[in-house]
Amino acid sequence: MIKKKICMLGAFAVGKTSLVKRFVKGIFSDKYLSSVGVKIDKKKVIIEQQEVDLLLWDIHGEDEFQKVQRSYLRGSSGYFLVVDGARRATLNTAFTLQKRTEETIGKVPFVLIFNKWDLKDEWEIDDKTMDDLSKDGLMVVKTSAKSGQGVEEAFLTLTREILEA
Amino acid sequence: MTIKKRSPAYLLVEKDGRLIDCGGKLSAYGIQGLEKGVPIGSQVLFLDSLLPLDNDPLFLSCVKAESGLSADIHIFPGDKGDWILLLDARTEEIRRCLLQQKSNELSLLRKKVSKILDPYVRKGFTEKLLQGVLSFQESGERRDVSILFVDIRGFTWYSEENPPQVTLQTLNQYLSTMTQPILDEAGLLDRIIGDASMAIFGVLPTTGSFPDQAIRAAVKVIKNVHDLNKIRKLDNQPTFNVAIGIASGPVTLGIFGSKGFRTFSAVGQAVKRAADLERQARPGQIVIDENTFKKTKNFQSLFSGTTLRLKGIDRPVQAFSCEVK
Ligand SMILES: Nc1nc2c(ncn2[C@@H]2O[C@H](COP(=O)(O)OP(=O)(O)OP(=O)(O)O)[C@@H](O)[C@H]2O)c(=O)[nH]1
Ligand SMILES: [Mg+2]
Repeated sequence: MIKKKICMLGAFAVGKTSLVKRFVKGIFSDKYLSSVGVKIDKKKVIIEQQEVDLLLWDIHGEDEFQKVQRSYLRGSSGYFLVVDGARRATLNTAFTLQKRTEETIGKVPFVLIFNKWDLKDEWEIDDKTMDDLSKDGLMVVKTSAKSGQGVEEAFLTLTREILEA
Repeated sequence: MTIKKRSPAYLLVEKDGRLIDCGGKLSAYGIQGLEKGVPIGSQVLFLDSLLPLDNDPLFLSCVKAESGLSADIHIFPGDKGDWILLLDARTEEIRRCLLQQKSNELSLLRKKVSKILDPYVRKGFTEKLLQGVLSFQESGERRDVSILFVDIRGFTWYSEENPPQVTLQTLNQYLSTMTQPILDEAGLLDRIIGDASMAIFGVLPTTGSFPDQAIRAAVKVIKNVHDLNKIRKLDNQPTFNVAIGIASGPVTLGIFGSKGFRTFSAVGQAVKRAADLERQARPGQIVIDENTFKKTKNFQSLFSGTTLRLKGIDRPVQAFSCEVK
């Protein structure tokens, strides 16, 4: 059985926990309960007839007072950088985390997730920014943990990249 | 808390990943039925990616796996293999949870308020929401606050010389570098009038001292503008400096205006004084009034005293200024 560790990284309240919950349990809640430390979940996926156990490390949000510990990142095969489309500043946090992760564990596949797509009227990130990022070669997926849109795709995309890496 | 009370448990794992030995309150962490000689990764979920150690010890705080109990995990190398020590981290988890939940909610709230109140980013929120968010009456509440005025020097002239698109783009660039420090310090952006803005400190609930927050925001604003200028210089674009005035004192807070255009604002001497001080400030300078100076706990050493003549006041006024490099 192949096992792969994936970290959920991003600023606080971007929807890391909600994405994992949606993907693993198929549920969503509007209530915000900020994560402390890290919570680990497991989910089996099948990619091209191959079973993979994903170990999902849902890490607390990065902020000034609570930086993401490098030790959490150890042994990751890939990671998500989650951005709240309605808060532009969370994109900068994502880039900061990307840098720190690469310094710590080297280059492994990652997918940039723009979450809260259901609130797109309030978005502060426009299509052009996202297009530019994918033109720069980043893997970009738009999701809504609330509606479920794009969630499965995001996880499968990253897993596929990991298997090919 | 002593280690004993924290349900200690340990594992010893060979470099090839097989479990050699274990003991302590492993069941407290949902770890049961371990088999010696079997790879640990398949038995304990969270250890899978962490072992074997390179050489340096590893520490992970507040890790929750299957059982849901939060554990501090210490891993360190020994002669026979890697030692893993688990300690109950619930006390720490609760402490962090309380702090973090509050401060994150506050940040989200601040973000929301800035969207509502700031015409620059406003996208049609309702006044009702606004009143739910801020806890004071329409009739007005008197409160001690610090008021900050910031102006982009030379911008009016620039806007007259350049096409509107260019002006707007430049203005947006400066405004967005200026607004963030204000929001970060729990400042409420009251209005943005062209190239000048006003912010109120002491309205949004925070733990900090608001004169300190206003000054910290001001310093950061000027620094951010310096940084932006460096980038613009590289692109051969014109650059601007900002000047800031801060005054503190009681003001009346409330929703003002007529039905068509109602807005939240502050009215009082301090508002007028802050605007006057801003007009006296040189580019890159912060000028504060005596009230703010007396109340600031951490920043007095940054400022030096000066006397100014303000509009409509006969005698010179004591003020304090600071040049931000
Ligand atoms: N409308 C909408 N709300 C979402 C979505 N995803 C998450 N949320 C809400 O955003 C808030 C934060 O979600 P979380 O999943 O707890 O965010 P997080 O990134 O895990 O936050 P931290 O653990 O504090 O870092 C919650 O109130 C969620 O209900 C989404 O796709 N759409
Ligand atoms: Mg979370």
